[in-house]
Amino acid sequence: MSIRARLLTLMLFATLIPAMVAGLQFFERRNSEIAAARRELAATAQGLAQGLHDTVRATAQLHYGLSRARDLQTEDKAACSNFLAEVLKRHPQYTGILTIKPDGQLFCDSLRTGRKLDLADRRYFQDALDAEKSLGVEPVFGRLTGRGVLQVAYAARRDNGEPLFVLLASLDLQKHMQLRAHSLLRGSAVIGLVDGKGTILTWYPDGPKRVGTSVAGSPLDHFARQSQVEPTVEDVEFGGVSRIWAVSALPEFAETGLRVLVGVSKADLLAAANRNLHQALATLAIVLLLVFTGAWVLVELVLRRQAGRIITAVERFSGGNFATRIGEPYPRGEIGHLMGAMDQAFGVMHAQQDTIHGLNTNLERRVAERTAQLEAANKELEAFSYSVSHDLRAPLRSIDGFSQALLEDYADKLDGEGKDYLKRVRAATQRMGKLIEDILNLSRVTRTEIHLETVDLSAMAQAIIAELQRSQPESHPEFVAAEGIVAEGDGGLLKVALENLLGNAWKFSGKRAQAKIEFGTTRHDGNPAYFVRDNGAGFDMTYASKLFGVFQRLHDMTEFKGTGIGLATVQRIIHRHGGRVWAEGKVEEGATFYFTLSQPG
Amino acid sequence: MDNKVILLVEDNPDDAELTLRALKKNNILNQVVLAHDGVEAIDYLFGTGTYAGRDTSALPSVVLLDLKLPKIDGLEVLKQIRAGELTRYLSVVILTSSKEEQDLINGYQLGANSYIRKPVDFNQFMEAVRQLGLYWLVLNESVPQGR
Repeated sequence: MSIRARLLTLMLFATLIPAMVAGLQFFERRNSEIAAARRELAATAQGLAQGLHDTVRATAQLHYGLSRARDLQTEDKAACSNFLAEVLKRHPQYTGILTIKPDGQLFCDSLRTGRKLDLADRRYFQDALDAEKSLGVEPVFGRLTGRGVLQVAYAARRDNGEPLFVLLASLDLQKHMQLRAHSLLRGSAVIGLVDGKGTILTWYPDGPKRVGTSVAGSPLDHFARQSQVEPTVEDVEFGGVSRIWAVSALPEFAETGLRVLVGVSKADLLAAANRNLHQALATLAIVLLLVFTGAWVLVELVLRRQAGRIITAVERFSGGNFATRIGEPYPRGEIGHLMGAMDQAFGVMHAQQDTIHGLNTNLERRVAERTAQLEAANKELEAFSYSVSHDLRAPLRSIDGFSQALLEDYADKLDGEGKDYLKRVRAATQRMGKLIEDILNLSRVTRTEIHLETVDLSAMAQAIIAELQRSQPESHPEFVAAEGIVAEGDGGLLKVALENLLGNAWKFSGKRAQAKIEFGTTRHDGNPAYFVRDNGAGFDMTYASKLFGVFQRLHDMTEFKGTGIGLATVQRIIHRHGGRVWAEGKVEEGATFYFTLSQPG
Repeated sequence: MDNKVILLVEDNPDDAELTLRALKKNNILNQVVLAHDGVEAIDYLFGTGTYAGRDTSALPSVVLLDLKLPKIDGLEVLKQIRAGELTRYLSVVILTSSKEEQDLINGYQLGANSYIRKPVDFNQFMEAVRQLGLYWLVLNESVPQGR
């Protein structure tokens, strides 16, 4: 997972919880907003109810004033009616004001209809006359007028308490509500007044349609009647629209049964709250988006880009461009530190590279010099060897030749001793010749370049034995060679080595009647080893360390011929192959010479 | 067999003496012309210098050539022998004490017919000479004279 993915996932989880909490908060807020709206609804209803109540009180005040009015203290119906008409003009909130005689007969009438009316059975009349209540309030829906009014009655009394007349003012509920409803009505809000029976007295809007109808029995009516435990009720279908209703009875005049109903469509009520919620959620989403985008960009700039710079520089450096640096600018903080440190490290490594380079060049130069020196030395050696092979031999040949000539041509002039001396001279020269030859061989062994190839040692051994047999037919040793022994090495040098070893075996077993020479392979320390074994004179193991020394011999010259160089040559050859050579022997029981060659690879 | 001449090119008087003795001992009685260095050898073969006026059509049957010679060395002599029209097909036997492989190679490269190493042991030397004589003078067919 990339750093970016990790960080963004981390961010996601880090922001998820606050986001969820915020989301929950938003929902909570919506709920409380809804509750507040409902409370507001209830308050509206209560406000309206209070307003109505205040109007009733104001009417009572009016009545009290009117009860003192002289104009009403008269039996002149016309006069007091006129008076009342005047009052009515000034109080257009009433549909009519009239007085009622204590017997219930309509007397003065602001409407000046002159009609006779018995209102004794009216509730408000009776309540007004009731000493305890003194004010009669009754909502009435006039079928004829098609309007709802609130009858407010007050008994004017003499000083002794005897009722003079009852004043009645009919509050035009429609007008009253209209005024107030107008400002409150919003959207689908509905304001209505119902009486105790459930008859709709006023209704806004749609007044004419509803007024006069009854809501009795409907759930709304149910709600309206409940004793205001619940300030609002939800979803009471009325008129086809889901509304939330609040109801309020008149304070002080609750028993009139008059109730204010305020209803707002659920959608409207919730609209604001929902809109707020949606706005808040949208804002949250945008904020999250911004945060993520910011995080993305930040990761990109701070981490990925910087990481990219580091990676590019490292790759270039490892690719061999040692002058690469990450370079300025270094961002603040740990990454910047890292970059700075890395550039320093690069600088150090670059310098080291240069140093190494310098050392290398120096080394190569020295090696070249040494090689040149070695080559020169080799050349000198070669010239020396050539010189030896030519110049030293010639005199030897002369010595030997003329000694022989003497022996032959002057045999008659020489006695036994003379002949013997000459024979010794000859022997010595031949010995010297052999020595020169061996030394030359040894030096050639050291000089020659090794050319590795696969060599069939078995076949080589057979060939050497065959040659020895041919040149020394007087010996007939038994020869046993394992088949198929192959090894990696320089064919020429290995031949010289085997010639020496087999030649030695031949020589030192020559005195045996049943001479036996063996060539085979074995294992030593897990590696293949080769051996030449004979059952000849053997040697004393005490002197084993001297075996391979130059000119070292463990035997008398009279016993066995030899210059003592053979084994030294063998050792040098084997060593040049990276191998080891050693011997085991027992006096008069034979000797075994082992050698290993280095393993390729 | 008697009219076959041997040209012996040898600077070492001892070696020359021994070679002559060896030839005699082996009954090789042909005339031996001795050249002490490369120049003498060339002079003889081409009829120049000390041998000016010699009949160059009369060539030796075999040249025994030592390599290490003063003035011009043996290989140079060989080169000139092979270059000369009359001497081109001469049988040249390099008779030298050098065991150097490079001399061997060079010798054959320049067209020597044979390469023999002088052994230190005189008996062996005698044997070598005997075989030499037998082969090159008796057995081997050289290019006929006058060609």
